[in-house]
Amino acid sequence: MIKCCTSLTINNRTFGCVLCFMIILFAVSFIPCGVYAEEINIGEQLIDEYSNIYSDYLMQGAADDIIDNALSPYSDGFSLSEFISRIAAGDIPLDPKGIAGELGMSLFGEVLGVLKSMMFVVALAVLSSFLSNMSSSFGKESINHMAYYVCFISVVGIASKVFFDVQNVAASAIENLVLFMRCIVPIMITSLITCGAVVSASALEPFLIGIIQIASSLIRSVFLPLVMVGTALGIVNSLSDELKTTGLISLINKAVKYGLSVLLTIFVAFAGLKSIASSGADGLTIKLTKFASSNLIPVVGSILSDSVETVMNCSALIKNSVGVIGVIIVFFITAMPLIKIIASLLVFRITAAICEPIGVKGIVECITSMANGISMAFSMLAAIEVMFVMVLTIIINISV
Amino acid sequence: MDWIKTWAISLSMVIIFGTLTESVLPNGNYRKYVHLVLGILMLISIINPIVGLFDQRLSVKLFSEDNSIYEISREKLEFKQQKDVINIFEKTLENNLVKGLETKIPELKGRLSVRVTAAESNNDFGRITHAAVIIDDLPEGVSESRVKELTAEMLGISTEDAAVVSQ
Repeated sequence: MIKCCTSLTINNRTFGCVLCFMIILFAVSFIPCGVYAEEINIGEQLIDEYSNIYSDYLMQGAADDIIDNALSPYSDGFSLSEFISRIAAGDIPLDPKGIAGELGMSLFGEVLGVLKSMMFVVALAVLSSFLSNMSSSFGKESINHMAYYVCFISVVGIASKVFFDVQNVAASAIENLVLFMRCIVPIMITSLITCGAVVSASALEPFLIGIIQIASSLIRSVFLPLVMVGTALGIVNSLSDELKTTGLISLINKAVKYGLSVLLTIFVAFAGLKSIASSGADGLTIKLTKFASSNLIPVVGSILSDSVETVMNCSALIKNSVGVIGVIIVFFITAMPLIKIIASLLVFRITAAICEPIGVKGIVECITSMANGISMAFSMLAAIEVMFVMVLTIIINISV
Repeated sequence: MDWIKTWAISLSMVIIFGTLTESVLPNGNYRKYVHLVLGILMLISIINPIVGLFDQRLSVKLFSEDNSIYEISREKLEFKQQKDVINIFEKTLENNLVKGLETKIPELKGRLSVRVTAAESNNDFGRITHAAVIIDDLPEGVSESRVKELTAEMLGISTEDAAVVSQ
């Protein structure tokens, strides 16, 4: 009986456990568990898609090498579409300290490079000074002159190599800038149209393209050659004490300076006025379109106008990012050439300052006129960079 | 602008020639006359291009260069924008329709999937052409026709354009 009872007890216990387990299992199956589907952020998806499209447009043009050379030394694992997406999200993926350090080291390197050449110039100036002081032992004045001309020609040969390097660097930087702007301005105008600023785009397009062409043509065809001519005349001017062209050189330099100032002034005035005049019309056009779509389509018209607004806001974000990228690239295209020009200018001025107390007037005048030519090249490159940055900033600032 | 280059070279040659001449000239009465001649030569070299300007018309083509502007296809971008607008519009309508149906018929919660199609053509842009509601295991007391009527009412379309399918 007891045995029977025990076995029955065990059987009951087992049955009870199994029953409990099944009840628990049954109960658990009724606990609601939330299944969260991944919600794709439509805004981020749109930004990524448009970043890819615009980066393809930018790299399709002739400026892809220029963009690559400008950005890749300062950004690890550079990808233009990722750049655009990150800037749209408010994060500029550049390290300012690293860039400043790089540029500082480059400046130091360039100064050392130019210093090596100009040390020979200083040595020749000292030699020329010694020779002129020893003129009495030569007997004839003409031998003294010949010695001076030989030193002068050697100085001109060494210094003019540095000068022409600087002019070539300035000319190629201006050409790269113009190429890049010819690529990015149509893209920016298109982005203006896609974010609804149709009136601004149609008003600005011919003006911006025209000003880029006029400014680049004037600087490359007129101002740069005039600077070269002015410097060449300055070199020849310092050769003789009697035959002087100081007035002509001053005229050429002032013509270039005033020409640049007038160009900048006209540009700023027209660009500012054009952008202000057309922004009001864009706002009105957009409001009318929203009103029309929300009222003409029954029930769901407001949702359609909201969808249009979402896409336009994404386009506006991308427009601003592409503009910021453009400004960054313009800065980096001109950074190294400007550093080289500044380094050369610094060394030329130091050389002229060192040679002046030695007493070789002609050589000092020659080096000073080359330094003036280099500073004009710096002004032109800086002016064209400022103009192009303003072009991009004007487009970024247009909003509807 | 080759004429500037030519002019500068000729002027420089005159100056160099004059400087070398001065250095080989003997000191005497002839020096000042040679100076005068060299000065006149320099003057002629300087004003030579200005005189030449009166003979020819200055053309703007002097400053013309390759004016090709990189053109991009705007149609592709506009087409993509239209598609994006329609996609967002359809997704928003689907979300609103699901929420609206679940509010009005609570038994349908968690059982709905919706597909709304809107027109992309310029004439009918944004017009809803078709709406399909798929109900997973239609609960009792809920009729497909009721769901169809509610769908048509919420989207502002006729009941013929709305379809309800229960699985």
